[in-house]
Amino acid sequence: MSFSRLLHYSGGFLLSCLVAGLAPSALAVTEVLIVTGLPGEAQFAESFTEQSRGLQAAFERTGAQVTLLDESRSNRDALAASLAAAANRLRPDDRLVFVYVGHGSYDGRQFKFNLPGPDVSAQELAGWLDAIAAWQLLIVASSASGAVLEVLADDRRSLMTATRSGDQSNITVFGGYLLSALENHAADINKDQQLSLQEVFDFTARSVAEHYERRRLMATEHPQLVNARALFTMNRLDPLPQDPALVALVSRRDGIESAIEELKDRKSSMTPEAYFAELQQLLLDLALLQQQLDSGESM
Amino acid sequence: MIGAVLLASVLGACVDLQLRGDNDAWRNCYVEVINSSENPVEVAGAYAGIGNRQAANDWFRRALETQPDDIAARVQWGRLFASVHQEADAEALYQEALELDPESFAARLALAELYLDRFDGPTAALVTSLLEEQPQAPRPLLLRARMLLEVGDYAAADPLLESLLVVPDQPLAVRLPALNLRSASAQLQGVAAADNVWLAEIRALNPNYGEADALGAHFYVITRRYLEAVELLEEAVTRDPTLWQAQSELGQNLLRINRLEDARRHLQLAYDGDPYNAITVNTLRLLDTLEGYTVVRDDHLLLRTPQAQSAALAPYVSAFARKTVETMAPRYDYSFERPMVIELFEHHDDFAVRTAGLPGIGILGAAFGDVVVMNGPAAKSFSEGFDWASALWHEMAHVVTLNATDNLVSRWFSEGVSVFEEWRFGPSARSSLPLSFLEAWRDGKLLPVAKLDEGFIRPGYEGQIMVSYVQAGVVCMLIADNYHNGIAKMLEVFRAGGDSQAAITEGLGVSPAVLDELLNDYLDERYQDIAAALKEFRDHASAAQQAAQASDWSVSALEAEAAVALYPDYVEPGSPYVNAVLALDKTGDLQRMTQLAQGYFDAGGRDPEVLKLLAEQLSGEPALAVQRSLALTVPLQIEARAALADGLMAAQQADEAVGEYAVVLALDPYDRAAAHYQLATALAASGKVAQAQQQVLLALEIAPRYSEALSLLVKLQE
Repeated sequence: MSFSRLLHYSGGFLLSCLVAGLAPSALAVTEVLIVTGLPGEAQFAESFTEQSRGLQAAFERTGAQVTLLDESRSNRDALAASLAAAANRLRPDDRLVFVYVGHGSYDGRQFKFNLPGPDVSAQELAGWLDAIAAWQLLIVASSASGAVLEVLADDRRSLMTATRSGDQSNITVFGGYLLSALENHAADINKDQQLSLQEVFDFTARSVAEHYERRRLMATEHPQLVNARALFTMNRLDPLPQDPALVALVSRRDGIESAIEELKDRKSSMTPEAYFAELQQLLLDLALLQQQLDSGESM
Repeated sequence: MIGAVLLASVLGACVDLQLRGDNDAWRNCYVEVINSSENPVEVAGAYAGIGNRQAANDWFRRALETQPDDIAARVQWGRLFASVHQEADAEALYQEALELDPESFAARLALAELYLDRFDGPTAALVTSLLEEQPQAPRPLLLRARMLLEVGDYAAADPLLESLLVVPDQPLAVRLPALNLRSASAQLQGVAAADNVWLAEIRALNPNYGEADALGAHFYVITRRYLEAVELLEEAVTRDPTLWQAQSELGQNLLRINRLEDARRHLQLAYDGDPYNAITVNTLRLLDTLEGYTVVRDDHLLLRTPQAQSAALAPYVSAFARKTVETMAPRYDYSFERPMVIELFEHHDDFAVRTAGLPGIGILGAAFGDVVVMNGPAAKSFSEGFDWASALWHEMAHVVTLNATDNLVSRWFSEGVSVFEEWRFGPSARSSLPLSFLEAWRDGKLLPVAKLDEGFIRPGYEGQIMVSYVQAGVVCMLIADNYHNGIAKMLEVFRAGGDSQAAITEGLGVSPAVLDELLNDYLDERYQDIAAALKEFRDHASAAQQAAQASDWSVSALEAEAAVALYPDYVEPGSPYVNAVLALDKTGDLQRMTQLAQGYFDAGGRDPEVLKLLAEQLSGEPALAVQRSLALTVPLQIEARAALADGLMAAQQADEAVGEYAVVLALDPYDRAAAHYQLATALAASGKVAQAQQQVLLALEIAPRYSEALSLLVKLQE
């Protein structure tokens, strides 16, 4: 079994690039695997299916080919085989995004992904993932998912869970809001038309909290993001241009943005007047470039 | 306390020396007992007397190991626990004693003393039963006298105390407390210290007996005369700096008159001497919290709020303070001499500690003369039945009535004026009498005005305090509407030292019975039909609620509207208007929804969800009026403040929009770049280009590619 490979270019030449982290090398690969587990109770089956398919579609709408192990295909052997294949394919510069939507259970000792057939424990999954050299983002959108935080912790791994511990065992709403965040412009706090891992998580966590506040319910899930690679890009909200001239403008824009970041790093050593004067000049340059990009012009 | 512990023991002589303040002698006396006595209870008592509580505790335990059925040991051990504020442990020991002997006089007396300061506690009943058995027993008589003084019944208290003072050779452990209470009674009746013969005798017996001043302070505190209380407590701790309870009370009361640094000093002294006092510890922690609060001052106000909420709350509180000074105070012929102090707490328990030293109290706000402390909007929400703005107006009215009378106003009248102010002039002015009040009226449970204070101080049935609030409010409203300047005239009588009876007869020229009649006539005329239909009202409201829970919106709307029709002024928490509006929104009948929501708003209803739906259906000034009320009701809700700001911009009121967008920014919104940008647009529209430029740069610093902000930056350069 294999699943899709997304090519990512550090200069950003993809038409649309979901889960496209800033790659250390030009041809780094990002692979996506979505697994739908058992619903726990029949009433949740539809919701989990919708979430899984929605996430798949969200990734695919950006041009990606995403592998979904839905309820008809997800089981312990299929998962093990998928990850074993990934271990053979992926190199240290690559990325693996693993998403689990479904019921999770925790008995005080072990978290289990509830799949059709035998369950898979977090310890077993850790073993399969340890064999993969690529950097990994694991999203576990299930009840009790906070229990995986310790078991799956690794320097090469970012972990996003619906709950903060295994004790939070109620059905979660996290998956639905994650799906919503992935395509929501409101999540794009720095307005760069890209949604970073941190932005997606912050927006999702905020939406989950509001969900309970609005209904005046005690929150039974508190999403967690551990070992975040904040600049990892989850989605681009507008396509990058293909016209080489515009691509050049984008490249110049990236240069100005880098200069702004460098300036911000120096802020504490500057007078406010000098800092804002320099910032203003860079921003005016950026505004000019942006006008050209928006109108499709090139210099 | 020690005198009470050891009254009947062989340690009486030591106690006598201690009460006379003969330090070396009483210590030697106790040490002698420790060295010579073979009775472990006496040894324990002697250790307690010299302040070695650990040794006392060990000896009490030893006493009960050898004499498991010793009632006196249990009672005295319990008093040791009470002296270190472990009331639950003390009570457990008293109860053990009562299990051994249900008639134990000593155990019942100890229990009565333990809960003396709880107005709803068992003390009164216990004292009655003790005095039935032994009518001349000194300690129950002292307790009764104290309780009589607490309700101002000097005529009954004084003879009791004097009967104890005429007994020859009365032990000092009785004579001194009796003198103490009699001296306090004289002080409460206006006898100057120089003319107070009982105080003179106390001073002659023991010049360092600060308990006398501390007790006098207690009576001032319960009648809200904090300045006088502080003066006496300062005297108490000057005479005896080791009076840790007085040091603690001095700290608490200094807080009530806004002397925070002095308060901390005395609380720290109290803590150093008695680290077991929870009130001292809590209040010291509260002072640490207050240090992190932001202070805002203007001509009328000193405001303390949590730092993050200051920008959102200060403009409202400042406007309320100005309105209080300029419009409310003149209504009652009062003029402010100094700024009032307002503290809005983020957590209810902090407010509770600020008010009573302990968490868990049920009230929401309190006024100590110039100082108002209350839950802020973060501590309790509207959905929890707390309308902070209305509560603030209520407390500000207390500032007026307390100051106008030097804190001599009666409880019912001060509360009544505050409630009336809420209804007539407050931010959610309304004529909505709660159902529980109408039921109490219908069932003949309202107190005569002359006795209305009892409904606040010693309520006789559940909910009577709330009923009394409303009754007092209606009475004050009727006074305001029927007697020219009536409230001001009554305040004047209170200021001169008159009681409620005098305030009504001299201030209004009628007897209290006339006010009772006026009240009944008013309620008969306005509320008779409603009171008769309360069951029907409740049935409809409940059916509406149930239908809403079942998502049967048509039925919910129908039932809720039927309830509204029965009592259209009712906008209290649980008002059927809310159900009706939310249900009609679901059914899509927006025209009817708007009509009802407008009716609710006009009647003083402020439910945020209803106001939000209403604002969405309106435009122009009517929409702005609703948005302004919504923002005031939920001032920390970013969405409400942003909606008002947007509405103001749409109405081209950019100056006011600047303030609202600044609040949005101060509330730390999720999208800070957008907040800076919106503030920049409002600043630009109000002609403040340099400030607009600064804000747009701050937006772009967060989000350099923010296209609208980039456009504005370019535009501002032109």
